[in-house]
Amino acid sequence: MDILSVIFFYIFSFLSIVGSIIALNSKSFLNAIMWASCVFVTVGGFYILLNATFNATLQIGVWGILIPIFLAISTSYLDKPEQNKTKFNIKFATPAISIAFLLIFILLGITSNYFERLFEVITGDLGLNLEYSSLAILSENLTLNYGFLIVLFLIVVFLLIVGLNLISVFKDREE
Amino acid sequence: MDIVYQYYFNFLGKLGLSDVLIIVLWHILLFGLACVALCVSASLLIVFERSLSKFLNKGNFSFSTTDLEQEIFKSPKYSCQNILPILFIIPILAIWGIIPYSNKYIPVESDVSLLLFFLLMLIPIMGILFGGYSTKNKTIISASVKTTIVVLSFALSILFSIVSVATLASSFNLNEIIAAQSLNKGALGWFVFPNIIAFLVLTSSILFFTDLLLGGLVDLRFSIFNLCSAKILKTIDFLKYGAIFIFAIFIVCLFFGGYLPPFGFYLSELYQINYVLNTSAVYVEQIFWLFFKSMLVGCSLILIRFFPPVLDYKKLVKYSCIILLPCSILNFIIICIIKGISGGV
Repeated sequence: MDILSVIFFYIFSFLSIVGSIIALNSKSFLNAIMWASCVFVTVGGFYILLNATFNATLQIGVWGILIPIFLAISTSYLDKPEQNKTKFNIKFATPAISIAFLLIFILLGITSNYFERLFEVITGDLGLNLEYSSLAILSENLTLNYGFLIVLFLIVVFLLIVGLNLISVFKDREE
Repeated sequence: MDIVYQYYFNFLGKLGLSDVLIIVLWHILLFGLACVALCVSASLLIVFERSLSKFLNKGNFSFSTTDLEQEIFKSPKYSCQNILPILFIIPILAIWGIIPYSNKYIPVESDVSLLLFFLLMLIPIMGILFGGYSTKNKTIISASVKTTIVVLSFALSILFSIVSVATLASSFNLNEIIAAQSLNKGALGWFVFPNIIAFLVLTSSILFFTDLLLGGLVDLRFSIFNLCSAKILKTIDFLKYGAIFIFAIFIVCLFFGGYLPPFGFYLSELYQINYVLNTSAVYVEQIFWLFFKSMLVGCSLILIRFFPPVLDYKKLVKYSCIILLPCSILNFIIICIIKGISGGV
């Protein structure tokens, strides 16, 4: 768990730093809002790393979702011609937000000791003795460390989202 | 970095390739199970809806096309808009992880799982709003802003009715809320009876919430799906029914006892055959009750959707702000007072 938390810390910090830099430098106000919401969601991830889930949900719900929505609604009542001229891209911000949400859910799954409880059901409640050595080792290792699975799953999801993104970019260029 | 390499080397060295394959397959199986459950529930609800439409001779559930919808279909489709359904798909798949299938089997157990559910409900609103902005069409932008305002007003009433249930159970954990609806009393112990106002507010606001998210309102038919290209729209269409099923599970967990049976005892505990068999049968029965109840609730939700009240934007805002929101707040205050008098939270 120690190494896993370090890996998650670096991913969250990378996302938050990149998001904040883009949010500060983007010309479009809406673009900045999208990236800022990504930053706030990743900050919620830090709270989960500190075992403060209630704070994390408040951070994500209020700062990550509701305040960007209210800011975006308030822009619709402004009649600034500059706002219409600037480009608004959702290509990169939406995958970033979705990746942050996925990471947070995986982290929550790890912190709730999903595998431990699952194998408790098999071994403890049913009173079964695991005769297969490979299964016993598997359960032991899963309860001790399951960073390998998480990394595999993350890579697959990351590739999917990046692939979707790239396809959309190339299609836009063709148009 | 050496520590990380050593860590994975040890991990792989202990397990062996076959075991790693088993773990990977196990995870693919879990992920697949969520997808299959979503597809099966959605297809069952679609079958129910079609058979109902045949029975009532009403045709498919659809409104006549409005001017706004024609404008959406005429507006140029940017391929970046095809990414927007991610903001709808990820919450729908993630919610399957929070649901307590039995008293021990919960993939992601958190102390604030009820709030997490509400949080995941809010994510598609971002998709609606920012999708509207990405069209660069003024009428579509104003429609998306209007829909977000109405959806948020319904979300507020949902929040207050959820919190009233949490005060009754004195916990935000979904599993503890189900456990608080005591098994011994059977159906009489469910939270529908002491908290019926919250149940009515939640169901009505969830019906409008889903209709607004998925583009079913009469004069504001705006959704994430309308912005996508026709191919993606066809493939994602069944997700709407999946969302209704998930909301049905949510209602069942809060008000109808979740995985608890309605009799006050488990059917599999009637005859004691074998300890292992009986305990494993209880888990299966719990999963059965959860899905059976949620399918009933989901079918009734679709049945209500066949007779929708014709409400335009102003009427909807009035309905949510004057009737639903005050009702839910009053209900919350009354429950807090009763809970305080009867023994504290």
